[in-house]
Amino acid sequence: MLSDDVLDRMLRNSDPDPGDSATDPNSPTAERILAQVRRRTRKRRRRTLIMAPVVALVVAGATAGTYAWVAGDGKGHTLDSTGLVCVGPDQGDAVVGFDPGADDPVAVCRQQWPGMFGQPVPDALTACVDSSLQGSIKVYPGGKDQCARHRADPYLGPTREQLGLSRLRADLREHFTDRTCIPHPELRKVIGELYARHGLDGWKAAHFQTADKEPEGPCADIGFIDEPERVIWLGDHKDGTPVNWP
Amino acid sequence: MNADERSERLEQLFRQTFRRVMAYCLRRASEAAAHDAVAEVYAVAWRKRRQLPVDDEEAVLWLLGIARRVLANQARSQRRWARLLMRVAERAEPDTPPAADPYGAEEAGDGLAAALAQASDADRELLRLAYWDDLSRSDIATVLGISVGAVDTRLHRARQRLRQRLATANPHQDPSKEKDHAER
Repeated sequence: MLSDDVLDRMLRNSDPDPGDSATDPNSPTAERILAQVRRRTRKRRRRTLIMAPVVALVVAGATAGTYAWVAGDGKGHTLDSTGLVCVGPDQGDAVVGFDPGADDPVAVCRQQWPGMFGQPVPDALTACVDSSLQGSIKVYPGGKDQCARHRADPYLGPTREQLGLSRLRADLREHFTDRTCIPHPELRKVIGELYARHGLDGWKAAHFQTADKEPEGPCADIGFIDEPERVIWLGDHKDGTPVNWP
Repeated sequence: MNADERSERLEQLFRQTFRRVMAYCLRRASEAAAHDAVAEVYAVAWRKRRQLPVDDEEAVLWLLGIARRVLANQARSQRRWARLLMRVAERAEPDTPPAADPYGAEEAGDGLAAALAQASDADRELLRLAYWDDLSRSDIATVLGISVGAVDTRLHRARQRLRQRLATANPHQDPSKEKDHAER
């Protein structure tokens, strides 16, 4: 076994020190990143301004001051509706899996809280939809005022589209139970029918191909559900192995 | 605070802390991913600026805590794409054996890198914070949001597990010798 000193030395020697030039705050790279940060922080303000005329402005009085936020529909327009953030104590946020059609965000965080943060669950938790471009669902410790404090909207439930996708996922699992090889045309056909059944207008299914345009394999599965682009990307599945549904 | 003052404050924070935040991200991600993560860290920090600590050192630790979560989210999305790309690659090159070691550590013959690659995310992050970012126990506790006692215990166990992995991988060889030899 290695001595403490040797192990310490090995660990320190393994540091891939990026060096001074790569971390220079006045370098062209740093300037480019700073410009990017400015764009990102500006974008958020613009979104708020666009929303302002069409939504109610809610003003909340609080002892420490008055918080104002722009209320959207409170339905979490996330890039990926299968995840939510439990905002833990100090720096301890955790991203956890979530089914918008079946789960309650507060219940999900409440159930996993002790395991994730090693602390008892707070008495009150509140689900909000933050005002970032992504609009993540976040669950904060505390009562209803938490959403206003974080310039977010109270979470009011899934959007119609998120609900439709959730049902589509469940239907796919049920339809193809125990199947280990689903031909591409069959999977596309079923997905198409489910789009129609669950009112998912504008959605399509496509084979994820590289630039070489490879032909479809004998078996398909779902590689990725791209919610912003409304595409379900199909991948090639290895025959004989269980299909993992996202 | 008007727009000019906001811009000035953001730039000040950026210049004061960029070196350590960028180094943190570059140690854990590719250059392109690190640049994107750093931009996101400051964008998030700006949104949460009411929570920004007044003390400079505490501000850096607060930003490193944000960076940790940004990189974790980035890795989560990348894993999804990687799964998809792996399937495409399997289809395109059915005879090519899959890469068993995404870090390329074993191929490089580096016992320590291989042992670190096999470690849990929590162990790896703890060891990196201690030995690469050179943070004190109390600073690590702040970044991870845990007690100093928990840092001590977890670090002790992480080192033990790493030592065991190194011993299992090279039962008759001191991995430090390999490094010294390579340096000569």
